[in-house]
Amino acid sequence: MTGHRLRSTAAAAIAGAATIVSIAARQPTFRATTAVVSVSVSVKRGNTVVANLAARDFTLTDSGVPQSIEAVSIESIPIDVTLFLDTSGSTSGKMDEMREDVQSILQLLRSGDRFRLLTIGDTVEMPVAWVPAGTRVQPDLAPVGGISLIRDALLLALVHRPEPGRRHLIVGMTDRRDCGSVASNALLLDVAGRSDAVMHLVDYSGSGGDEHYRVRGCSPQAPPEGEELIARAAERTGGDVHQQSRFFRASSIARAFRAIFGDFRQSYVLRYSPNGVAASGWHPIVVAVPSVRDATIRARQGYYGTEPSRRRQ
Amino acid sequence: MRVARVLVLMASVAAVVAAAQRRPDQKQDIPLKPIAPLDLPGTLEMYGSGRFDEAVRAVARAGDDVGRNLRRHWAITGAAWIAANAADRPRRQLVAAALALESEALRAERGGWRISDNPLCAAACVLDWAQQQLVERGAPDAGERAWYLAAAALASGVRDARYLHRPIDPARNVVPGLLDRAAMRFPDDPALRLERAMAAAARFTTLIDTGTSRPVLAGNPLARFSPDFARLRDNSAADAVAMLESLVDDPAVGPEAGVRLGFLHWALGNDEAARTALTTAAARATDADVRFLAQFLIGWTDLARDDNAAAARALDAALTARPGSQSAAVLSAALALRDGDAATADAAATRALERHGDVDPWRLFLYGHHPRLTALIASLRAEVAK
Repeated sequence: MTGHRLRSTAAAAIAGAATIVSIAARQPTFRATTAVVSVSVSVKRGNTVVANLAARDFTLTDSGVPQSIEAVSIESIPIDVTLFLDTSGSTSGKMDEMREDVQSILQLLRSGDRFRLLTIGDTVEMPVAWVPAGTRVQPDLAPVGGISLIRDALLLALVHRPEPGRRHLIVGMTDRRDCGSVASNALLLDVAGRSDAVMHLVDYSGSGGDEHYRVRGCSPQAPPEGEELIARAAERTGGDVHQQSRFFRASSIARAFRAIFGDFRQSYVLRYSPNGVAASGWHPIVVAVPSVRDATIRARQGYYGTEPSRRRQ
Repeated sequence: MRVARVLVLMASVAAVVAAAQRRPDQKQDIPLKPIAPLDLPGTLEMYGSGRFDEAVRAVARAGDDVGRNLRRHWAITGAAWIAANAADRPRRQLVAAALALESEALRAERGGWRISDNPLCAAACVLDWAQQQLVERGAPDAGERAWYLAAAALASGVRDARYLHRPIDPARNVVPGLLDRAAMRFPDDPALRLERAMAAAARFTTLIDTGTSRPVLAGNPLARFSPDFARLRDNSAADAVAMLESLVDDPAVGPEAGVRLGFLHWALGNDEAARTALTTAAARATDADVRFLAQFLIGWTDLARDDNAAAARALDAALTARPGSQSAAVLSAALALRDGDAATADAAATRALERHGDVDPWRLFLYGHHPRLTALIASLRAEVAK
């Protein structure tokens, strides 16, 4: 990849988890001493993660203004993992496989990591609340008919606030065909821009709907472009949409999760104190690695600067 | 491929022509398909003796093919069982009507509400026969009323509003909807009037999810062909509004009617009328679910018009009425995050997710009273057992 393509990729795909850590909150503008933004950045060449990069290898602009990267860290940070399984409609024929995959995924986590499982029925369910890595679980999974609350489930996942010193990864296995959510696409995109999480989605459809549950058919029906807008929410967080393997259908959830989790674990976390930018509004972030040719860079597309809450005053 | 399509088309045309040429009396020659191993008279006896679950399990065990074949047996085998004991006829008619309804509830769960491989007899055919039996019993009574309420919940679950309510159209000779017929039997019953109004409204709250911040009313595809269709639709929408408005002061069903009226107004684009109806309903509601619905919908309408502060207040009120309810929590969490209050957003989402198995009333709002179907069938069974 040329340097130009690299910049284009970075600008288009843009990037990982931006966390604003307020040191002295309620300041009207960001200064080096008032806030720190952290951004998860995945750097890959082909399918291989590019390792051993330092702060000097990265460039980062916030709202078009170059920023000075203060620190880079990799992977030792414990992770909160939210797995979302779309148990609706066309994906509902794989319940047994889903249960096995959940257990396999729990074995992939490291000590210090945490895991929870979200599914959808007539409402968004949490069959497995936060548990430590290695826990044995028997999730209660049941298929549901027309209702498919995908946007609501992803929004509820995105607002999770990890404890300081932790990162949040969301992996959603879904066909992205929403039905009945109260969260609009615009609201999901907005929350994705404000969330600390990195969200990846895997296109996932099962072997057909469950014939035992056909009352409460879908209404309202989402148009096809809704699937694309849900994908944009993932990209805004620095995640992506992945296609399911055509050859390894069995255990495809665990297989897809392993790849995403491995990349996330090895992603860099850049920290900087914004300088020369306004406090509020949308801050587009562009990350580049000029020293690495042909790299694919994935980081979150930006973050919302926040002002002191007025909501409950 | 094209040849195959042509052949299929030719076969379809031939079938339609053959059907058109068939004399009306030939329709009666279509033989009944077997329902073995199901013994319908025996199952009716079982149901009539109070062994309700056992009887329904027998129908379920017989399978989908038998279930579909059973539909035409009601008017023949079922009718013969009713006629076999003249002295017990009214009770037997209620028994048969109730079991017929429960058998269609099974078909609906299996996706077979409208599917029929018996000519001209899907779910509506069975329920129409059952309703006829109830009318023949004589004066309307509690058993018949319980049956209508359960039937309305069932048809609402499959969103078959057209079966429940068909607007009067002098130009067309159509059979009135099931709840229009119920209104003739129970003209002053608030619960049945609400069901009928909900069915009328459901024709105008069929929504298309555009991913925007408010539901969008599904368009009427026929309106583009003729202004008559558009006018008929407008008149019908006005009828639905009028039906609900006539109920808002009723002490029993008024608050729910107000919530349904508010949502209908919103779907029709009458935002101010929606707000008025919802605010009134919220003030009058004594039931927590109805109060939740009213406040939640006020919050959603506020959010749709970008009044975030008002939306937050209404959603807080909804969550006070029904703590942790997920529909309100989703919007409330998003608003809190927008205000930079990540801790409140996280707490709202966590509370909602920790309410395992709790389905808030909005989630199934568009399916009428289908969530109450089990309870309504229990009430019907209680009437059968009397």
